[in-house]
Formats: sequence, structure tokens, C-alpha cells
Amino acid sequence: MKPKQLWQREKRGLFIILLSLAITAIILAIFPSKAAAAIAEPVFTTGENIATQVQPLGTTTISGNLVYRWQVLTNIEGCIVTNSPPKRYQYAQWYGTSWIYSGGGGFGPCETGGFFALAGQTIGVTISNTNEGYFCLFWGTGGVTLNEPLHKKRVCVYQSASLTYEPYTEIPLVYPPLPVIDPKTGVANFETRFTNIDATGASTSIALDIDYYLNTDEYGTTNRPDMIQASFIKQGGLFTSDEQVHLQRKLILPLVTGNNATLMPVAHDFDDGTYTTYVNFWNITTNGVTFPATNIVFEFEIDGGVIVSETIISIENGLTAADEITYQECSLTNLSGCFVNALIYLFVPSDGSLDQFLSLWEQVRTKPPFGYITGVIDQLEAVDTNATAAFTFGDVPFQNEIFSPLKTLFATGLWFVYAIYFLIRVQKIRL
Amino acid sequence: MITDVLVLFIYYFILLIVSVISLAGDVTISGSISAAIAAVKPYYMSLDMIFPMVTLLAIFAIQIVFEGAYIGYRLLKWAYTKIPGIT
Repeated sequence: MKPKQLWQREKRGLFIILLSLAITAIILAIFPSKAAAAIAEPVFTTGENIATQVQPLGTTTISGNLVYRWQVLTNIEGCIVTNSPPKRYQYAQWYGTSWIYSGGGGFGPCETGGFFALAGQTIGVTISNTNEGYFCLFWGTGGVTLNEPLHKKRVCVYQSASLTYEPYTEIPLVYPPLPVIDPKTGVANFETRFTNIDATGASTSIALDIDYYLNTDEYGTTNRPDMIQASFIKQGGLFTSDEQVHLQRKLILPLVTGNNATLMPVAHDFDDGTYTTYVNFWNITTNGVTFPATNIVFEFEIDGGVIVSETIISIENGLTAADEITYQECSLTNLSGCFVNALIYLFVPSDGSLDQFLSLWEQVRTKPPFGYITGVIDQLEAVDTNATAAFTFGDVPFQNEIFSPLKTLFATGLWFVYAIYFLIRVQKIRL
Repeated sequence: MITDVLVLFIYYFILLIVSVISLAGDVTISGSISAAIAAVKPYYMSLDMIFPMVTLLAIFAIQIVFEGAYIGYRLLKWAYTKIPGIT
């Protein structure tokens, strides 16, 4: 067959494939980054109201306890903590009919499996102490099985010492991030908090060697479990019961004073297998300044009790300086600046003109036909991420050696069959 | 400025459509969807031990995007042919 004939026969298929890729690219480029970032997680500035999706209703008393209540307008899941001295965590249990019970201090909700998923409901958290501070409802897209940091999104109310309710609109909670200072050079480093991570040791004494920068305000802070934690997920879900207890809890890691590298002893008895490690540097407030959350995802494989491989999957520092197009000085000695300014003025759209599209989406996201899609997505995101397998094969000898190649074989077969189907489908397309 | 004006035109065009759509009531999705998924997930995880469920989901996603693109193209083409003078 001549190339021209081949082109005539296959051009419509190629066109549709290119169209599919373009649509996928548009969805990936625009929807999650711009719309989701701006709508679901607004850019916070000092003193700005951050309660865009959860409406505090005030307080009520249930069983003799003061309860803060929120009307949740959109789907959320996560856990509830307080974020003010003294550090006191309120952990949420599954929402029943009207409120969430809070536990005692000193426990993070995500350590105790206290996740919740809510939509269009009124919830509350019991305030059982009289400490002044911010009480926050935090939510994220999942639990320890996802690599997004927990506590990423939040809405807070302020509780004064006299237990009076303060309007949420007056909460100056989240501050713009500051650059992290490289302690070696003293230079502001906008690019990274984490620089490297290694797993060392053998199965009974694994340690994480984590290199990260601290800001000068963070020096001297030690033993801050609210600042940095790590969790481990064994791939394949074939835990022994003992491992499961250890691996699904978050480990509290210490901070090293004035240093940018530390060895985190993990010291659990890891069986052979591949482990995904999530290390989160959460938003914390030091001396009145909140630093941005960062996380690192890391994999290591243990075989025969020895670490045989390790890979850094991703480092999300949340500190990358934005590449902003800015006006330059226009003068006789800098004529190029004048041209740059003119081009910016003529062709660079303002943030406001683009952001107004986001409000359009908010108006229709719950309306047909979009509401059917967003509603289903919200429902899917509300699924408990901590589900355990309905049945397992127990501790079968060589199970990894058997199942891993089998899965690879099945996956290869699936792709092969799909490729054939896809080719046949493309040929049947009418343009 | 030029881009802003173009963006503004597009914005008002979409606003016109959105205003009509906004007149419709909110869609109510039954909470039983997440309950159903949650009920299925343990079995999904069990199956995932030996069968590459992620691959299956990826194939479904690719096919849905592909067919969506095709339908979108057909719709655009249909609308295009409705313009007077174009056959």
C-alpha cells in the first residue's frame, strides 16, 4: 500500500486520536490546575476569609459539650484538628446525623483512622476545653493512601478564652508563604524544602535520611509532631496483621535544630516488599508566620531483609516562585523595557479577566448536565480510602513471586487486546 | 488590552449560555453512589492483588475520552453544517 493510500485510509483515525489528546490535554491543563486550584483551594492572604465552602453556623450544646457547627456546602473529607497553642487535636469520627465527636488532646485524627466524608450536611466538633485558639475543619482528597498532603484545605473558627463565637470573616489565619532560607548560604531558596531522602539500615532498623531546609524561624523547634510526619504503605496490600498496625499509623519525626539534614529512625520490622513513604511537612505557624506545606513521596524495596532499591517519586514543595510577567522600567537606557511593557499591556490578559471564568463554572457546576458529572465525582471522592480488602490470600509462600508476574502478564494482555480493539474502532469511524 | 477585550467577548458569550443553564434547578445525586463504591472497594482491592484493576480503569478512561472526543467532533460538525450557505 502506498503511503498516500495509507494516509487516505487512516487520516480520520489520526484526526480523532489527535482530538482526543487535545481534549485530554485541555482537561488536564485547565481543569485540575486552574479551576480546581482557584475554586477548591483559594489563594489565601492575610486576613482574608478562607471559609468559602463551609459555612460556620455558630455553636450549640450537645450532651453538655459546646459544639461548633458548620454547614458543609461541598463534599469534603479529612479530619479535624485545632491549630493553636496548646496544640490540641480534635479527631473526627464518622458523621452520624448531626455532629462529629471530638476526642482528647494529643492525638492526630489521621493517626486513629478518624476520617470522614461529608456533603451537604451540618457537622460540628465538640470543644471540651477552654483554650483560646483556632478550631479548624481540615479536608483533603484522601487519606494515607494518597500522596497529597493531609490538612491541605481548611476552614477555621476562632474560639476566644471566654468561649464566645467569633465570626469567621475576621480570621487572619493563613499568611503568604515565606521563602525558605538555605542555612548553608543564607540565601532565600524558593525552589525546595526537601532536597533528598534515603532509606538506610536493614528491615528491623530502617531509618529515613531526609535532607530539608529550615527557616531561621524554625531553628530551635524540636519535637514538633505537627510539623513533619511520615507514613508508609506497603504496595499490594499484603500486610501481616502486625505490619498493618505499624505501617498505617503516622510516625512522629523530630526536627533537628539549625540543621538541614537528619536521620529519622523508623525501627519497625519491615517484611520483604515495596513500601511507599509519604513525608509531609505541614503548614505550621512559628512566631506568627505560617509556612507552606510540602511533601515528598519515596519508594524503597526490601528483599531478604535488605534495602535493594529506592526511588524518589515526587517532591512537592509548594514553594516554587511563580514565573510572573512583570512590567519593566521604561527609560532611555532601557528601551527594551518599553517594548516589553507595551506587549504586556496589549496582549497579556489580566488575572481578573481570566479568573471571572471560574465564577462561571461555579454557577453551573451543580446544574444539569454538569451537575451529574460533578455530583458523581464528588460521590467518588467521598469513598473511604482506608478500605481493606474483603479477602486476602493470607501468608502464602512465594505469593509476591507468583502474583506480581501474573499481574504483569494480565496487564500486558489487556493492553494488547485493547490495542487491537482500538485499531478496529478507529477504522470504523465516520468523519 | 487586546487580549482582555477578546476574553471579555468570550466571557459574555459564555455568560449568556450559563445564565440559561443557571435557571435549571440543582442536580441531586443520590448518596448511594458513594455507598455502592465503598461497598465494592474491598472486593476491588482483593481482585487487585492478582488482576491489574488499574490497567482496566486506565483503558476505560482512554476509551471514554476517545468516544467523547468523537461525539464532540460530530456535534461540532453538525452545528457547522447548520450555518447558512455551508453544506
